[in-house]
Amino acid sequence: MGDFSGKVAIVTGSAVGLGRQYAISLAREGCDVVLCDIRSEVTQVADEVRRLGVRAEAHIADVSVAADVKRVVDSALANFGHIDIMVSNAGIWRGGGAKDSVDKSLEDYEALIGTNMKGIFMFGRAVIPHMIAQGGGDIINIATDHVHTHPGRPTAGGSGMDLYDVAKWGVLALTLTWAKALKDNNIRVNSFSMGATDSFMLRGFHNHAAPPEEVAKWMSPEKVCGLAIEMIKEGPTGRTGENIGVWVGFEIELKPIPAAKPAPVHA
Amino acid sequence: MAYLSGKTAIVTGAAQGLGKAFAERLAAEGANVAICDILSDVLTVGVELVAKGHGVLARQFDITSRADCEALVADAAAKFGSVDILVNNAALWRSTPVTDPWEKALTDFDEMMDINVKAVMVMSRLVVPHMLRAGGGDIVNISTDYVLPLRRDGVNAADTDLYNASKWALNGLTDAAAQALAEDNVRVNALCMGPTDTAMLRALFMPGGKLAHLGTAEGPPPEVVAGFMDPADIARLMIDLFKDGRTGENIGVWAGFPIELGPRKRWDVRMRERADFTGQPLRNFGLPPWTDAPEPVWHLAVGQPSEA
Repeated sequence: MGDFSGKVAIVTGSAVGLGRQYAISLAREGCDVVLCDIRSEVTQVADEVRRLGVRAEAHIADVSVAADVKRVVDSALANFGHIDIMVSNAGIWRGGGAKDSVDKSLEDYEALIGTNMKGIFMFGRAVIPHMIAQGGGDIINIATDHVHTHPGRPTAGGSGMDLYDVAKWGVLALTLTWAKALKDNNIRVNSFSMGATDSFMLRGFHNHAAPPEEVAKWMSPEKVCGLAIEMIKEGPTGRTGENIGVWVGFEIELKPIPAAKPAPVHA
Repeated sequence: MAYLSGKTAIVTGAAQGLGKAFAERLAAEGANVAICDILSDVLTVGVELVAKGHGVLARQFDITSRADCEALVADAAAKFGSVDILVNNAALWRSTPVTDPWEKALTDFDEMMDINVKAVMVMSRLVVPHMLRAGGGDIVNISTDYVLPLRRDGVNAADTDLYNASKWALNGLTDAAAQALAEDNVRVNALCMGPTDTAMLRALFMPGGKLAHLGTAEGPPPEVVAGFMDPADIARLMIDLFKDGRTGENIGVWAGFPIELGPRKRWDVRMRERADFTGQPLRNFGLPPWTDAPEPVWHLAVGQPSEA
């Protein structure tokens, strides 16, 4: 078995794309996996995970619904006894901007903030008390490169993704604050801000008809998830409160853990 | 003629503290002001401003009420002819430790996000058509220096994940709206203040507040208050911001430092401040593909502003 033998992970949005890859990558390390998704295919991914020799259970659940979040976490605890790794990956995408109507904006707000921010908030808050009680854990929140851009690109997903960005900036703040709150509890909280990754969301963005030469530019989910595994392996002295940028055209790697925080620049 | 004569400004959360200071300063600059708050004191503020001869529309309502927001914007436009400035000031602070009970966590999320984020979105969406019609405008989101800390000691106290999230979330509204409205002569910025002498901050030092051990029933002791910034100074800075014409910036305002706009930030500097808040050493982003922000647009200026 791998390094994560005996550990239990929850991965949200794990029926497809990046979430599915997180589940598989963790399972390959020997980690038991609790999967959830609004899509019923999540049960097939759980079968796939089991074939890797670990335990798995699948839930059809909506991360924006409090009762669903509670059900997944309670079930994980009842069946596996503990939760060591929380990967809040589930997310949706919608366009929108300053000139939208209030009606459309409120609908987008409920969907985007509900899934992309409240979902991450609820899963974090649901697992944190257990991680504190058991003496440690890892929380990974998936953000976007809109909040941590690659060199040469301004923040935000342009002018037309404001509420998506609202949710993801919120996720970054949750990551930073939780890292600070839990630094003495052996719980590390980090987020990943990825650029174009071959995920279900990005394929959906291209109406599942992206030309192969476009797809070829995207980062492989396996590599991105590998980076998260590498980070979890840093263990109790590992980094926390970082928002890790992973970008197309750049090395997919973890920077060294900084010895001290650098002085600010307010030019 | 005063700088903002004939212009109309909406200020949310204007019963006290910063919102009241914004309303007073905007009115003093000649603007008609439409103000609202959940507290009835907003009506007193309105009466005071009317007594000074200013055009005022004052309403008491909960900022999470969409219908009341719509009525405020529509009535302000009807009464004064336009909406030129929106100051999204109303906000809620609450301690939300990560070990809170589940039910409290859920309530806190909804209540804080509804006031600090959703209402900002709704108000901003409502004023944009009026600003487009008027040929320009300014939106100012009131944030916090937790988003733009002077020292890189991470975000603020560990028990405020939701307050932090709500204020960081405003980056999304400031950033995208500034880009979307740049060609329409509408600017969107955020003021990111450190401790300012407001009711929100004073309450922390009163019984039941998390800093109550440092204060009395009357609030914080004078030596602590002496370290707070004056809301009137922040309001003055906001006028400077309108005159300057920059957009898409988080303006840092820190206690103990000059309360000034500072030079315009090139977008690569902005990006570093916002995006590279990672604990990693600052990277060299190289030269930006385009240079400084466009020249200021004196859309609101009747005369030339005094040299800042």
